[in-house]
Amino acid sequence: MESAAWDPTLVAGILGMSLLAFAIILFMLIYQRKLVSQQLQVQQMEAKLQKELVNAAIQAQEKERKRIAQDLHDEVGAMLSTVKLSLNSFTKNTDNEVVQRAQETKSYIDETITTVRNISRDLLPATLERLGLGDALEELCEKLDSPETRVQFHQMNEVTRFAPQSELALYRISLELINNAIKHANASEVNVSITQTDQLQLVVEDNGDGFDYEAAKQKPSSELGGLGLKNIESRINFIGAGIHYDSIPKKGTKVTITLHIPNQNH
Amino acid sequence: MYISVSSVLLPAIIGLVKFSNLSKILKTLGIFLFIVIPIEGTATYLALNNMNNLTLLHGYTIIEFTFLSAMFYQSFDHKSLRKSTLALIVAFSAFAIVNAFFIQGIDQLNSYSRGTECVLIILMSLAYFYEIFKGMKILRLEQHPMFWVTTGALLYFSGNLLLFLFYRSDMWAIIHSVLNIILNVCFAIAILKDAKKRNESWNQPHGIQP
Repeated sequence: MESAAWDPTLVAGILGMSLLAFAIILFMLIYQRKLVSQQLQVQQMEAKLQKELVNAAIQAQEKERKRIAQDLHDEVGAMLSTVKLSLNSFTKNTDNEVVQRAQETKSYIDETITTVRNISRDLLPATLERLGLGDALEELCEKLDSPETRVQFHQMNEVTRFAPQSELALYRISLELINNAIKHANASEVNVSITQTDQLQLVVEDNGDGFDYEAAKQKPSSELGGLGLKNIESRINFIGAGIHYDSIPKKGTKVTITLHIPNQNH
Repeated sequence: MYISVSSVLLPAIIGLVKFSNLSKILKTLGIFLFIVIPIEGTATYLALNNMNNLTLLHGYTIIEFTFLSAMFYQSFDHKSLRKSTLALIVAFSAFAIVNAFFIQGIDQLNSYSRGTECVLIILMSLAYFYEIFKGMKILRLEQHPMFWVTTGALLYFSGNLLLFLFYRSDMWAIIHSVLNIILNVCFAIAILKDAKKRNESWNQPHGIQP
């Protein structure tokens, strides 16, 4: 091997190359971070705006539902009751055929009144407004319970009342999750439980097919496979709650929702 | 000199301990380091016994280029870059073999192959940085394992390029040793960052935190 004195030109060249490489690395570290953080800021602003839009849409949707429910109950329901009352005058008619027709019409009106009440209740569950989330969920589970799918409700302790929009959001999320378990996961058993300690914990657990959270989330919301996850996510973000999915294929899904409820004594 | 030779033990030992926790890219680096140890050991043994160890360098150059290129291949997003990397591995290996047997000779310093390797790895490092820069996806680059691999490679091969082309044994002893230590420290950081990153991603829950 050859041995010679240090060549200043070669040393300068090596130093120059090393410094250039070092400068490139430094540039990448500093400038890239600056650019990406700027881009992130823009994305965060866009996401915030998007969230505000979704929140406004949810609020507008609930407001409209409430208005329609009230109109159905107060106006259509009242009008139908009036029609039913006025039909009573026909039952005193001597003509048997008129009486029979009046009775038939009365039974149709009764059915219509029941349907209107059901639609109104679905749009705005009166129990939720009157008695709170626990009672409303119990009523919901009883309504959805069937021999094919047992839907059971468990309330571990007293649940205090909290913000109506949060109660309504949790009610709608529970409905979505139970429907998913029945329609998509083919569950034969669904358990809904609610506990309140320093925070509210709502658990919806089923023994259905389970699902891949990441894959389902990637699907467009128009697809049925989306399972309304985006809808649930929007409502969770809207009330500032947390949600955790725990799903095992062919074993079932457990969804845990936690919500911090501000102490109302203060 | 001995510190430089044994510096490969640092990333190799960390790689061995964390191997099951590493991503595919860093596993490639781990395997490379496990291969380097016996080669470095044999080269040192031959040098200590005043025997020519340059033959080993011909094989080592091909192995080093193949493994480093394989890591860049796995990191590149663009198909054209990936294809070019594969083609370069084949072309460079062929050139290094031809150089060993027909141009510079198997018992001579393979400065042509080493020089070419330096230029190609520098180009791949720059291409990787350019892709990151265009992609705008990574905020904290220093937390990214491949950033440390590329940093080590860029510093090592940029500093050594002229040294390989215009070989001076006295300069080699100092400059190459320092750069080799830097390279191995960067590799060690990359392995640690990768193992940490994988641990964190496994512990992340599915859903939304309040």
